[in-house]
Amino acid sequence: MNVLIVEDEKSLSKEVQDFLKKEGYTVEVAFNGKEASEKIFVNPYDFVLLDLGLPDYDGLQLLKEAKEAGQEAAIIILTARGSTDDKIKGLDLGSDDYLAKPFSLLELSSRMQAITRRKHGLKKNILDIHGFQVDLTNRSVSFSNNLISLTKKEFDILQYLLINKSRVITRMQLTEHIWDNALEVDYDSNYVDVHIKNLRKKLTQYAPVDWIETVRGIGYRLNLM
Amino acid sequence: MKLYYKLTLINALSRIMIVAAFLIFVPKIIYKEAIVNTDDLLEKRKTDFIHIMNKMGMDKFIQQESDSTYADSTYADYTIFKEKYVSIEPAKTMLPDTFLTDQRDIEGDIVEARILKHSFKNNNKIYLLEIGESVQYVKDLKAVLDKIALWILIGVIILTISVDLSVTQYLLRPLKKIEAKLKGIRTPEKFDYTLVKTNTTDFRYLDRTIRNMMRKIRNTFYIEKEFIANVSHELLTPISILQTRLENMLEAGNLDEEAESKIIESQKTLGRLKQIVRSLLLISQIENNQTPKADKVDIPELLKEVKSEIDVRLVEKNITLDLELPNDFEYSPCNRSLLFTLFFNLINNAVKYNKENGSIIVSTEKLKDEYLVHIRDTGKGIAPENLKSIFNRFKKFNNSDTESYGLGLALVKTIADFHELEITVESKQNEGSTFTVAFKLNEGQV
Repeated sequence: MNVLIVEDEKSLSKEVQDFLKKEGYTVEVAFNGKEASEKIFVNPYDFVLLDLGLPDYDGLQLLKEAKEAGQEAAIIILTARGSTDDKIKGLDLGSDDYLAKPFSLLELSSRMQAITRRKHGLKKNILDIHGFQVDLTNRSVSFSNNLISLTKKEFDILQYLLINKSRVITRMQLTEHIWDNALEVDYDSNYVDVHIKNLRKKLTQYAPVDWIETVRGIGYRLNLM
Repeated sequence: MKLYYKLTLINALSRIMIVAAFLIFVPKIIYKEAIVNTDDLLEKRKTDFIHIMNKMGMDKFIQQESDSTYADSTYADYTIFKEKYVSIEPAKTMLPDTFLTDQRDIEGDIVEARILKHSFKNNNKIYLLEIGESVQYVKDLKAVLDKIALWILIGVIILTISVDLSVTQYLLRPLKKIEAKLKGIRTPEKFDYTLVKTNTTDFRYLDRTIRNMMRKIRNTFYIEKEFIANVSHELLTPISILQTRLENMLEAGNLDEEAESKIIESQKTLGRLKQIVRSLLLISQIENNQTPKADKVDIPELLKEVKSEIDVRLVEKNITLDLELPNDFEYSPCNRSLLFTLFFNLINNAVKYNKENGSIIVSTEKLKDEYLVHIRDTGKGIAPENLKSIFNRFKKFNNSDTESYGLGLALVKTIADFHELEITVESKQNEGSTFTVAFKLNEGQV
């Protein structure tokens, strides 16, 4: 899949580029609005990651142009402005998602996956994992037709692990994901562990959950093997 | 006391004093003048009388003396209404002329009179001549004057006070306008910068000075807010770079265990930095009114939601968190997520600073014009000297605690100010603290 990263901060652009390439995306970059505008006009992309604070261009204007040019790419706004105003404007102008800087690369990748799933119209948005049915649309989990009642946070954790399966996810990444932009996040604490413990307890009633693996000192991994 | 009333009162008092002085002294002066005139008159009459007596002979007046059986025969004469009289009687010694005011019995009528006594010799005998003039009219005049003066006093006072009231009111009108401009402004942005029309230089000076100071404060505020917003914003980009770089390093999976754990620690540190910058940015956004305020929030529901978020944090120290929410209350307009943050921070602090097996009670109370939310904990409490500054930015009291960066409560205060809520704290050291958030009940809010 083709991705255009529109970001004037070269170091950041490079990190995102490295990450996405490893994830299997084909990546192009633009460091200013003019460059981006040309590229968007000429090439078809699957994703445009758009920084709103460009030196020569208003990012929202660029978004408008892209839509007018018939660009079918999913557009994810990346911004440090962080005002809800921008978010609403961006979504109004047809962007698909919005990530406030600083963001986690894993979060970006999850959002991109979610958009892909949505765009490809996967009606049956239910994933099976070791006999557990995880319904991403209705946000529910069941085991052989028994609905398992999970809290919002527990479901968020399970879903995040599932989307990023087979990959070690640090407590920090999980914390950031489930608390989003909450300001009183205690990065040193083990709140995530408490949630995982509760999640395991609930699931174990139906089947063993050794596939939720604790990676010592780092975080967790969901094992599909 | 207002300047307006003070001025009127002082003016009225000074008027009363002047009029009272008038009332006391003027009748006295008039009386004295009248007496002096009377004395002159008596002196003249005396001269006239002696002149007549010398011309006509003494015998005419005291003729009975020789054939009378009385040794001390006297002469007396008076007008028909007894307002003037003359009398001669023998005396023992010569006396200098004297004036006096005295009462005289004239044919059974007591008359108050001004009297001139004059001694003279005739045929080696000493006589005393008395010439009198009634002063009743002077006394009557004085009484009338007293009465008139009293009415004048009352009249003058009433008149001057009413004139004073309207004149001072007119003169002080610019001051009142300046006062009105200052009343009820919470921020310098809301100050009315148009000058008050006046030709009183003092007021002009006052008005201009206040305006200029307000401008200065506004500019300083503005610069500070801008600074915070810009700095926070500028910091977010390098933090982004670091965060993504650290993530990529971990993703590479070619690090040894030590390097890995160091990167994870660095991520946590970066997380804290991110949290501080985001808090600062949020504070500056709220202060710049960039956050919407259009939600309607069921406060007890919101508190339940906060509790469900916090529950996971209670396990570590085995803390109990109880909600006592007897009163329904919906609040609008407000910003739901900001109010959530406000209560989350307050309750989260109650967890953070609590002791092992401690407890937290969140309760609500509905008063006549206020809805109160109390958050009571059994924590270490706040020292009295620190109570005043707990809402200041970057104030941190417990140095051994690495979790606090002093922005949590500053953010709470900013959110409260934004919603015009009042926050009060009561605390006893080693017993716990109670934070109270007061919502003003407006009409139509149930």
